[in-house]
Amino acid sequence: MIDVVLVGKKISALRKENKLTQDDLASKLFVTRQNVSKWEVGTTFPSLDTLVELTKIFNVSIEELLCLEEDIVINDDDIFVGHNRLFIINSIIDGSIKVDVPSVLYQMSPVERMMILRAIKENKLQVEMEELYPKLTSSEQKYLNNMEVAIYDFKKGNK
Amino acid sequence: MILKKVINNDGTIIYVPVTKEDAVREDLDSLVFSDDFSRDEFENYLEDLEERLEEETVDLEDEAEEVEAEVVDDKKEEESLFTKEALEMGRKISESARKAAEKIKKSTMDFSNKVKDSIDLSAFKSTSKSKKLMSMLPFLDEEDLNELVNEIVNNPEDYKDLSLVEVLPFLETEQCDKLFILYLEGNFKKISISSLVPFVSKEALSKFVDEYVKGNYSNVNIDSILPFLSSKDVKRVFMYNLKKDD
Repeated sequence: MIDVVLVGKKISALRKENKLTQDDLASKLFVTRQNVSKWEVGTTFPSLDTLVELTKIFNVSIEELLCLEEDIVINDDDIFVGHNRLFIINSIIDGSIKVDVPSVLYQMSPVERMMILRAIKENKLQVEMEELYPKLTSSEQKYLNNMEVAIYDFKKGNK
Repeated sequence: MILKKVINNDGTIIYVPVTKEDAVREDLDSLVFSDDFSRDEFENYLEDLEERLEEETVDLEDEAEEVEAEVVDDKKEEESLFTKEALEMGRKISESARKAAEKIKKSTMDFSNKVKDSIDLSAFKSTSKSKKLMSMLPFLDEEDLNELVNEIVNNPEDYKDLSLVEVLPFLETEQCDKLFILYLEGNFKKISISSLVPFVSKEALSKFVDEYVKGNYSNVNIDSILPFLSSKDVKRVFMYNLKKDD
């Protein structure tokens, strides 16, 4: 998956490296300055045809333009800052990013939490259930209860 | 993704995904955005709606002003003429012009109210049935969810208040992949590709790219799918596009 926020920053950096204003780049691509601005903040993503043109204008490979081979660096206190949220969630699920899921779960929206739980349920993501379970809502616990794992009764302290 | 805050009967709060078309009918305070991209996209959508409303209102108001101006002109003409018949005719013209102006103003108001109603929460609230369904989603097992998805796919009219987008986070990846294939084959268009793709597996997307680079599925909006492809598949699509241009 592509981190559209990171790609936006890359487009901005390459544009400045080539001494182009947003207007200059927009003219070369036959788009509006607002389009370029939205790409650079990660609000929208350029079309495939535009990406082809950007590699030619900046004289870079598609790998460099889309940051495909860059290491993902995150801040544990805010795992999403500087990145596209869906990209981070997918990276956690496919193992590209190693985080302590129970510790960062609070930073996720309900749908993002469901995506993580679904990955756990489908055995795509391994997590310490003892640490995770108390941090879930009752609906989430019930969702996970369909799994055949030992569930700890934390209130009674029983296994 | 746009999420709507829903308070259950037991007081617990859950968040359910909504489309942006449904989100404009909701109280903005009850909406939560999963990322800045979704918030910006929604704000842009609202701005577009408002601009369209403004343009229509301005156009109709301009027309009303023109007719009123004609009424004033008519009155001036009337004074300079000074004959009984001319005055009578002038009065008739200004009376009909005044009525026309009132009609245009009323239709402007009607149009404004229609648009406001279309985004009014009370006009389009979910039924209690679909609310109950949404709150039950976390508790449904795989079989129930499969059945629900089949029902929504085969009988969309019966479930018009329950968007498939709200169900997607609860579905197994396999089910999402099946919906994706249905979409590609043109058998299911109830959902936009950009809402579905985040929940489709990498393997299914890779198989799609296998077909795409052979020239199949050329009618699918590749731009919506591109951000969700693996690095390897992005490169394949890119090279295919480059060769196509050459």
